[in-house]
Amino acid sequence: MPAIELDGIVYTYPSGTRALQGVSLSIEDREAIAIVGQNGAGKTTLVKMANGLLRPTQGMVRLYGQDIRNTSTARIARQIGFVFQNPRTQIFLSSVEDEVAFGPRNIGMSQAQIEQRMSYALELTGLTAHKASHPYDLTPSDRKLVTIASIIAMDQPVLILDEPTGGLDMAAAEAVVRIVEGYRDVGRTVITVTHDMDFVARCFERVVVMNQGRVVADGRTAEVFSQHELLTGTHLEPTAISLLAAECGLPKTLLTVEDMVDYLTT
Amino acid sequence: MVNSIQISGVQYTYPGSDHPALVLDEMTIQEGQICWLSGLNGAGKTTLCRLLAGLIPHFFRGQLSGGIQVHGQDTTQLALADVSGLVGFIMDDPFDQLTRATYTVRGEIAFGLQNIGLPPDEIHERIEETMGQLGIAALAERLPTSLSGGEQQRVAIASIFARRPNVLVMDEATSQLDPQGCEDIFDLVTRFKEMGKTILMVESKPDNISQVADRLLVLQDGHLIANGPVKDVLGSGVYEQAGLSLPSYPSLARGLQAKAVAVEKLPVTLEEARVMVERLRHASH
Repeated sequence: MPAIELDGIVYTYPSGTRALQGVSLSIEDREAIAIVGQNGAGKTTLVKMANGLLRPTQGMVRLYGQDIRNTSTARIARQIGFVFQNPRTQIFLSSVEDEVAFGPRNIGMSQAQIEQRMSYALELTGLTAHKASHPYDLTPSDRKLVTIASIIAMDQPVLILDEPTGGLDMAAAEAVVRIVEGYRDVGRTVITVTHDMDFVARCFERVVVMNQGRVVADGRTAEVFSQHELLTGTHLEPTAISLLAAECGLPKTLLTVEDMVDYLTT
Repeated sequence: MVNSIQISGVQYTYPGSDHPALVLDEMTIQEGQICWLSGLNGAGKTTLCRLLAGLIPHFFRGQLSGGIQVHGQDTTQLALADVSGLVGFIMDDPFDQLTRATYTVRGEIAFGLQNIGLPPDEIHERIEETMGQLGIAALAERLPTSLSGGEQQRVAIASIFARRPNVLVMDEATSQLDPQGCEDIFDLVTRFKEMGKTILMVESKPDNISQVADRLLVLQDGHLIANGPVKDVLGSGVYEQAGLSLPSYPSLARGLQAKAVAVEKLPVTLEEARVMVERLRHASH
C-alpha cells in the first residue's frame, strides 16, 4: 500500500498565488524520494499537503489508504515527521535534550521509550555531546541537526525533510546523508525537498521534478538527472560528474564521484 | 595590486568564552579577487566575516586585539555605519538580514540606499538594475516576509549588492537558492570582481565556488592554515587534512589514485577534468 497518495491536488494561497496546479503522486511505503525544482516551484507546499499543515483547495490526500480530509494535523503528526527548512520555525526549548524529548512526550511515549528514542536520535545526528547545550548556543549546522533529531525521536514511519542540507557545513551535510541512509535501512519512508542534486544522487532512488506547481518528471534518479535539458529548463543543474560525463561522451547517468571511478576502473 | 584587506596580529575572544575564536597572525587579500573561505564547523569562518563587517567589535564586544584594515581604513575605529559603506555583509539566513521595516521588495532594497543618502533617481536605477540581475523584478511589489526562503535570500542579497560596497562578505549566502539562483549569484560576483571589488565567500557548494574563486583560505581552530590560489591549496593536501570534502573533480582524481590510477595534476575546472578523463581513456586503449 502506498504511504502517501496525492490525487489531483490544487492549492491556492489566501494571497491568490496558485502554488499547485493539479498534482498527483503516489509514494510507496519504505521509498526514498526527492522532490526538486526551482525556488517557488511548489515543493514545500506539496509536502505540507502530506502532513496536513496545508489542506488542498481541490483534490484528495490519502495516508496509508485513509482520506485525511477530516484528520487533525496532530494525529497525522504521529505518522509523518516533518523537519522544517529553518530551525527557527521549529526550536523553542532551552536545551537540546528537552527539544528532542518534547515530541515523544507529546505523543504519549513512556519515559523509558523517550530515553531510548532520544539516545538513538542524538547518536544518529552526532549530538550526544551537546545534549545539555542551549540549541541557540550551537552552530547553525548543529542547530539544524537538533531539528532532525527532535523529529527522528518521534519514530514515525514517514520522515519529510525540507531542504535538510541547505546552509550546512560539509561535516553536517555528511551527517544528514548518514541519517537518511540509516533511516532507510530501518525501513522508513523518507521524502526530501531539496536543491542539492549531489545529495539526491547519493541518497534517493526516485526523484520528482516540479515546475510552476506541476510535476514535469518522475522516475529513477539516474534517468531523470541524465536529462540535462529538462533540468536546465526547470532552473536546475546536472551534477558536476554528469556534466563531465556529457563532455567526455560517457553515459550521463554517471552522477557521483563513486559512479565515475567505478566506470573508469572496471 | 592594492591590498583590500590587511589583518595582522588579530586575536578575538567572544564574551563569556576563555578560548579565542580567531587567532590571525597575518592575512592579506588583494583587491579584485574572489576568495573562498573554508573550514569545519567552529573553525572561525563566521567570526572572521563578522570581524570584516565591523560587527566585531561594534556589536559583539568580547576581547579584540590587533589590526584590521579595509582599503586602508582601520574598521575597529570607524562607526559601524561607515564600515557598512565599505563592506557589504550577506548572512546565511535572510531572516537576520531583512529589515521587516518595509512592505515591498522594492522598498527593502531602497532602504539601505536611502540610508547612505543616494539621490532618488540613482536609487531607482540601482533597484531596477539589481532586481533584473537577480531575477526578482516580478516580486517588486510583494511583501518580503511573504516570499519563499530562496526568494527572501535573493532580496537580502539584492539589498547589499545594490549598495555596491568595495568588499562583499558572503557567509553561506546562497544556502537556500536553487541551482539557477546560485549560478546567477556566482555570475554577479564575477562581474563584481571585474569591477575591482573584493569578495570573500563562505560556501558549502565546493563545486560552484571552486570554479570561480581565485584564492582559497582555510581556517582550522581559529588559525589560518592556508591562503593561496585554489589549485595550489587543493593540491597541497592541507584542505583534506583539515577534514574538508573536496569538490567533485579533485575528489574524482583522489578516487582514481586510491585505485592505483596515476593522475598527474589535481583537476579543478570541468575542462581540466575532461582532459584527465580523456587521457585515462586513451591510455587504457
